Amino acid sequence: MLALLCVEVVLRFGAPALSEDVRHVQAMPQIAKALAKRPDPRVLFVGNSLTRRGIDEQSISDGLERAGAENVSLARLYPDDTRILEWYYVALHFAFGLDDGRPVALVVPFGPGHLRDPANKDPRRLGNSFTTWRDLGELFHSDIHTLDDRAQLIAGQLSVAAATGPRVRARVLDKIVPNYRQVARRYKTMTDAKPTEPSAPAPRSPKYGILRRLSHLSEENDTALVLVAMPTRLGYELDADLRSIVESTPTVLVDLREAAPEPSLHLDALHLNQKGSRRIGGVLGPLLVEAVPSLKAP
Amino acid sequence: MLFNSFEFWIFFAAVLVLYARVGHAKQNVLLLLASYVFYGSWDWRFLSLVLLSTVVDFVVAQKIEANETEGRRRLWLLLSMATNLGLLGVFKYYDFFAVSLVELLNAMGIGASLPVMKVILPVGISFYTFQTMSYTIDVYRRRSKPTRSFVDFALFVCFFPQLVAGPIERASDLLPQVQTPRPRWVEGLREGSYHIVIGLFKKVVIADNLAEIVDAVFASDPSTIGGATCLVGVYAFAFQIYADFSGYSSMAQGVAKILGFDLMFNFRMPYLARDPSDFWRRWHISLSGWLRDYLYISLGGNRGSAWKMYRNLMLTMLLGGLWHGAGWTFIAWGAFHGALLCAFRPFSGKSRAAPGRVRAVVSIVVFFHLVCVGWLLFRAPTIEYAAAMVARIVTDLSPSSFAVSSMLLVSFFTTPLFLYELWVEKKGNMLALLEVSWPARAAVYVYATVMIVTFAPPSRHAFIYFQF
Repeated sequence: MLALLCVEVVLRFGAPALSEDVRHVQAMPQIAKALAKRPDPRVLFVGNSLTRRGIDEQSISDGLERAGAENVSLARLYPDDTRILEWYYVALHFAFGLDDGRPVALVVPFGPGHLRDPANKDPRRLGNSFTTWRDLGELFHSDIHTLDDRAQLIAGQLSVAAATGPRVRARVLDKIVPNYRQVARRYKTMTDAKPTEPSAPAPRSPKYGILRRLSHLSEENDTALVLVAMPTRLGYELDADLRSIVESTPTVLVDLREAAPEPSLHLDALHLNQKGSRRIGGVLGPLLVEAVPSLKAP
Repeated sequence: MLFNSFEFWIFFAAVLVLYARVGHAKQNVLLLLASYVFYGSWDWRFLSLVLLSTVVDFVVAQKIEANETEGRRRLWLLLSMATNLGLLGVFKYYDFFAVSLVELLNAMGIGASLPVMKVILPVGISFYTFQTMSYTIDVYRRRSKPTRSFVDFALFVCFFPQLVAGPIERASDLLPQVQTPRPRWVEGLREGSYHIVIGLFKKVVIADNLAEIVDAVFASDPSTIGGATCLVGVYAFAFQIYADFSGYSSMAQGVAKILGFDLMFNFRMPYLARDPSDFWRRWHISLSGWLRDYLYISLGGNRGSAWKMYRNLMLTMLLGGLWHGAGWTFIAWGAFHGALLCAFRPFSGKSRAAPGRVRAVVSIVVFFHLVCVGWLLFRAPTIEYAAAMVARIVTDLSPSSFAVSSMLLVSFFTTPLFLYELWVEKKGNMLALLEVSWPARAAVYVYATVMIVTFAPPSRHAFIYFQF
């Protein structure tokens, strides 16, 4: 028990040193509050590293201005390795949870599979970084169903050590094993490439329950929800279920999958480089104004 | 409900709180109910199989005891064997033998088909059927007296810490502990916590981290990866399966100890074995002891000609392989170990003589590699796949940067355990850590705890031996 306590104390104070992402997650409340204090209209981007790498605030501001939307206040929240489940709770707290200064638009840049209800969750990180005790009711009802996952979620809310273990692991192995991250990615690729058994059940069609909840939440708060399909080097499909949600709700889909086809605009298979993010900013600004006319000054 | 899940520890805490408040008789009822809840958490339907085995063997043991005539006693024993082996046959082996027979007949040009059942294998069926069979055999051999209490016997069959993956306990060891009052839980806390921490470390830090490497290598076509990568995959599996299974056994021992029970050590540093006999005295000791006492000796053991002894060894190991799973790779694994036992048999007297340090190290290293050949057969999806991996290892052992990094990962996770086990072996006491000064003990606990908290891989893996 004493050992556990020591680990907890060390990580509670030392976790920010582990990665830029931990620092960003800890700074999210300040970023959201700072946006709320800035003048209307406000736009909050919520995503992951696709947002961090691919959404350049200056280029978007320029694009917005060109389309007649001046002095739009922008902010980005981009916790690494997250998807719709985490984004829902980030939006709940930092877009709609503030007393005033809510954004007129919530923009969610996404890549392949990011909007689907996740098959694998990380309840400890969810508990530690994106939710509070007040969310437990909704989490248990809608997102975290097994006793083990619920216990992990609560462990994450109580303990930094429980939630940041994977980051410590990655950091240490980075130092010891040459190219550890590439090697780990290769393990995953090799494992995923294994052909499935002929008798294995066909994969279920994707579900978008959390996206529907986010759409509903945005509608309740008079905030436009804009989904931005980001370009990736290998491309991906937008399935019929996703399109039907867009058609049946006020949610807007901005499809930028073909907006940066040149390999020179990409950093790697998923992310854009600086040049690519500037290209996207230029394209996205006017499209946002088209999707959310209230961004334009009256 | 895995031992490495929060769910299990919440369950165990709840059981322990109630357990500490009631007397011996009620403790047994509580543990029995808890065991059924534990087993039912996998699939309630399979509880009926445990109950069937329990009822049949409880009645059979009484009947054997009540009958003096050898023929009748043997008939009752046969009923027990038929029930338990019948359950195993139906749920574990039927599909494999049906498909194999049809393939054989078709290969001979005889058109044939047999229905297959595609049933889910009930978790732990091989463990509890062997445990309950040992009870009726011991009663038949007049080595044990049958218990008159159904609750006590049912608890012996399905005691939850060791129900799904052993150790396969003998009635003569476990039943008396069920029948008599046990020490208070706090008295077992020190040793129990040691077993649990070591077990969790082995499972979470070593086995689950190595699983990522093993799964990746064995999911690949051997022709697309280098021989060095194949070799690292085999090494990784050797340590994964050891850490996974011995970790489970250790946690079972720890949980049982806190409840006042002493379970046997199922592993004693198996990779320090110098020959096959030594290995089987160290690896899955409860199964190898079971096979020795109830199969090898029943077949004649060492009695008779050398040829008969080799036949008995081969048969015992073949069936030991088949016990693990219905597949040709498991049979090949058993045959390989049978062949090793036969091949080393003529030298067994000589190898017992105390060897020099260099010779001992060479023996350990050579025998570890022979064990690895067995693990390759055990883990490979088919025998052809295992052969293809061997071919890659033999023909192309040039180390790629990927293989080197993977080997570094394997070393990082396994070296501390290996050094610890060397120390335990030198001390000759499995609980040596409990006898050192508290700062040294604390240092080991702190290291293990920090690693468990921070080095758990992103995905949790089920225990390998649950599938058997």
